[in-house]
Amino acid sequence: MKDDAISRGQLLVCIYLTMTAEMLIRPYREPIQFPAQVLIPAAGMNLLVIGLALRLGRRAGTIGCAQRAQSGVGRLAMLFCTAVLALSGGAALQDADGFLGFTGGRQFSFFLFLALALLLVFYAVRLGAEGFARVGGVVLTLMLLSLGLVILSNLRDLRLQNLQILPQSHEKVVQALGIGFYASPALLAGVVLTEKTDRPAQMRWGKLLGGIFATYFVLTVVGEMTLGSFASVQRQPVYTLARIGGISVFRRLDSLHSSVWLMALLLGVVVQAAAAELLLRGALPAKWKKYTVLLTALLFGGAALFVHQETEAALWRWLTVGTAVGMLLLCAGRKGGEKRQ
Amino acid sequence: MKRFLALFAALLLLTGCQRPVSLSERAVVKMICISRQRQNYHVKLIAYTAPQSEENADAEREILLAEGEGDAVQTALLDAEHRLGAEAFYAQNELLLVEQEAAADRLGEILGYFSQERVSRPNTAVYAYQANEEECLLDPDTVQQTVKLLEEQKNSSGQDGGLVQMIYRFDLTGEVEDFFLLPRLVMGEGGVQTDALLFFRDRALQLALTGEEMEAAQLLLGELSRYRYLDGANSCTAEDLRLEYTVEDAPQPRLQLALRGEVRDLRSEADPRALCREIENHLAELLGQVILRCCVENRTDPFRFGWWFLAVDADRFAPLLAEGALFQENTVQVTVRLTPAS
Repeated sequence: MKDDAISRGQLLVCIYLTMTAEMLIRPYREPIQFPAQVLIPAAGMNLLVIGLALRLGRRAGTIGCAQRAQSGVGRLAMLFCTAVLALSGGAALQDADGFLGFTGGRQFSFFLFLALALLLVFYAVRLGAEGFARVGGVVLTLMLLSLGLVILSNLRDLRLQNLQILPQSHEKVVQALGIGFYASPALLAGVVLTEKTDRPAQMRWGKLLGGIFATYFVLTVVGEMTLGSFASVQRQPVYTLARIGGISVFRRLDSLHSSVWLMALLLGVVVQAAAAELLLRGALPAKWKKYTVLLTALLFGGAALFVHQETEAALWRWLTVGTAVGMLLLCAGRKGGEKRQ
Repeated sequence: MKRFLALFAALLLLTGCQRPVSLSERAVVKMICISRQRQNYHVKLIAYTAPQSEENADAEREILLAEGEGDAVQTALLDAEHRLGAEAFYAQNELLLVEQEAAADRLGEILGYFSQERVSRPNTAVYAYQANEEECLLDPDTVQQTVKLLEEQKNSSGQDGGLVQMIYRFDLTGEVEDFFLLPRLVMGEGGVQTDALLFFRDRALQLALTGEEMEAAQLLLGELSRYRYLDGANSCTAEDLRLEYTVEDAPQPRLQLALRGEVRDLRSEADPRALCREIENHLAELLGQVILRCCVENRTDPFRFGWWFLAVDADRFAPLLAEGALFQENTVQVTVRLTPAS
């Protein structure tokens, strides 16, 4: 066992929470105007492609950053992945601020929020992987309770006839896949952080993707059965469900849900920052190593400021490309590192 | 220690109380009324001030009414907020009333605004009203009771409260439904009540269902599960009404609609089975008449009958449904089966 080791399950839980939070909190994403009949198979195909990519590059995570840093391609891959993770973390912080503004009215400025969030990121990354992995278990329980409550509180309004039935939906599935294909940088963080687990070669990515698909399936079907076509024009249909659902006299549960989702989102930022710090530690010269945590926080802060200034609606496309290129570079870097060994 | 102090300082900042507004400075908006005047939106906000103490809260609560006007819903609302004299608090607002002419002309825009507005809840109930009813509906002496009744009706939706149309139930894309269906409010003897279901299409009122037709439509929408049969001494109530759907494809596409339920409060001396048959015939005729008016004469499908055809063969029935050619006089056949309660 290495120092600061986490189990594979804990890592998968953290990545699952990061990806679920991305699914729930998207205040700046345009809605993909397709019904569940189209979105669910498209999401399945999306995850299948990602699953195949992870299977092909499954050995990319089995080599540590120290070995990878021995080749030029390896160092390049590490710096590139750090940049992608920082951009993704910055976008998540911007989303968190937007979501806060949407849910509770704006109480303080983005800059104050950013400073507090970065303080949290700095502290969590310093604590190490074991710290956030333990928090992951608690947040997973809260998240499952929250999603269960969202479904339960809308059971009364589910209507079968709200599910849209389209003729010849195959073409639309391909179209939706083309428009909305997304590979989360959280996967990149997952691949990098496998180094922290005891048996990196045996990561069960299939379980993670299966869990993400099951969550998406249930939320999309419940969303459409409750909201009908209203769901397809919502940026955050699950949050709309949280706003309309009520149990007995409790008719305002959205604040409860949004706090749990924000926790998951911040955990996602911490996971990505931990991966970025690990990469920086390997890629930078030895004398820089005591500053990598601070440097990571500054990088994430810089990325968040960049995203805040240049809010780009299609940023997620760039992140998808970045994740794919990052994976390829990590695979190439592995080969380089192995040869040198 | 330093870490602890830093964390404590951060937590202090997280309270979000930088610009607090006390409860007494807020006006809790309970109902929004929208009409059109001189090509502008005219908005009336009905708001309550917070009571000073928990005891006798209703008596201490002051009712505020503020009006505003603007060329868009937002500007009219801001104008009304400005005149309210207190900070408008919308989190408890569950009611949106739209004057009938404004609904016919601009309901899409109005719902579009409220569906996007952050402070508006998507489950706000939407009703229509006639201009001459506005004074009664907003009468300061009764408005509190009106709001209470409407909120109760909204929150008992699905438990025989009748049709409540909430913002999220409207198809704002126009892809599934090209019309808007709204219940209309009037002030009756016992307070506010629904007197009609209105269908708006192409910026005009297309159809209004009233009386028994309105009840039948609510049965078909699944919003009612009981029907009161009125015939002197034979009056009784059919309860636990539920619909079953069967699609037959040959020779003509047909939807068999079976309504089943129990008659529970038979008090007359008439034969219970004969009375059930009488109610069955009456209900079947009534439902058939409503289906004919909505689906055939006006080419709307508020009851989503088309969905059952699509579930059988979407490729075949989707074009017919889009052209409005699916529903002919005999496409939907209604049977009613009632049993006397044992």
